[in-house]
Amino acid sequence: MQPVERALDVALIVMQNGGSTRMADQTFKNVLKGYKKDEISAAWRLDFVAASGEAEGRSSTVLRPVGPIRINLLRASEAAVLGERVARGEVDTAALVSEVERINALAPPYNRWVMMAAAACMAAALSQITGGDWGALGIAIVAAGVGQFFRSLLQAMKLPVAPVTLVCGLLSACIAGVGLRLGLSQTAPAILISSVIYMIPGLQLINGFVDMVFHKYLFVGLGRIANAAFLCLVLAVAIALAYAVVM
Amino acid sequence: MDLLIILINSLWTGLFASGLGILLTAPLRYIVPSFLCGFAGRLVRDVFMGWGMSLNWSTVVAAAVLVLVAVAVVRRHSAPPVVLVSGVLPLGAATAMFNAILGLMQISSLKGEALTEASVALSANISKAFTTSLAIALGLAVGMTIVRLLRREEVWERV
Repeated sequence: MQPVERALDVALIVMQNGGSTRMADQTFKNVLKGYKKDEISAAWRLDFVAASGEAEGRSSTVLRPVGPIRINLLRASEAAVLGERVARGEVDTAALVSEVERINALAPPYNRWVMMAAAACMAAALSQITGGDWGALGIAIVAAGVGQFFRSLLQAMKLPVAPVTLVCGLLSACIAGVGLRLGLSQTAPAILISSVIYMIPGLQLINGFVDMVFHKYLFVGLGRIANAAFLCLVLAVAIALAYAVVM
Repeated sequence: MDLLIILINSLWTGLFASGLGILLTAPLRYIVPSFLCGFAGRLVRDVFMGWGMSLNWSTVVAAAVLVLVAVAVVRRHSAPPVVLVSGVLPLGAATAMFNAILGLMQISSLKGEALTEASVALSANISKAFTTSLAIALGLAVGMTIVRLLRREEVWERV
């Protein structure tokens, strides 16, 4: 079952770094194609993956935990490309272990400061799209920028997603609330929503819908959507708490 | 229909989409396409609404156009999901969704007239969030179908 183990190594990189289940499964099949083994199938869940096939005349199943799902689409993309290259015979299967190590060592393409600037840009843009004034723009930039900074610190400590979302959402919403309290803006809904928008679980939602479209991954898709809905609820709780404390 | 306001809002939406692309760790080559998709999606939606089309149908058209823009501007003419995600999220009813969740939390403590008003607002926000999400999904499916018909091949590229 060594080919299955290697294929799962590559496919799990896709799954663990924000790729859709369909993409992970396709990568799994591509790597097995490189080993000339097409008869093996995998059942995907958010907590584990099970692959079954025949080895030495006996039926065997390999179970692997998926582990925490984070976002690093660069790694997911590289793993998918690796799968395609293995399928085309451009990468020898013997080199797979070192390739997996290389991909797992890839750092996110943007550093903490760029991510902070991106979060601030998103918040500023949304505050204007939702009808905020210039005061709202300034408050949203500060709230989202500070929140994203602390989020990256907490993520580096490998804390679970929900507490990180709650703490950072609370921090950003409190900063936004203070801005409102000081009278810097009169557009409360625009500011409060913009200040936490950088934590919206958009990728989980879309991956969930993509999984559901390909009917085979319906339950994984539903799990992802339920996860995203839970994180939205956590954000709403953070906003409500901040509103109660500051306003 | 005020074209200047539509253009400004579209620019903000493009900025939002490119920021989201960075937060989602999209490779650098997808950031400009994300901006263009966000810009085009909002522009198309606002223009169609200006012509009298409803919000939901305008969103369907905008999401479909967004797929076509993604396919046109991305190298190898594919539609990377991360570009689509970044482009379509600003079209979503984020405000309605948050208002619905906040309303859901407040509604248990209200009584009388306030409860009635909050209930109506809650159902309006939930229905807006639902129909907008459905419109986006439908628009993306329409866009994908158009591209598949034109090219007779798979357009979902890796990432």
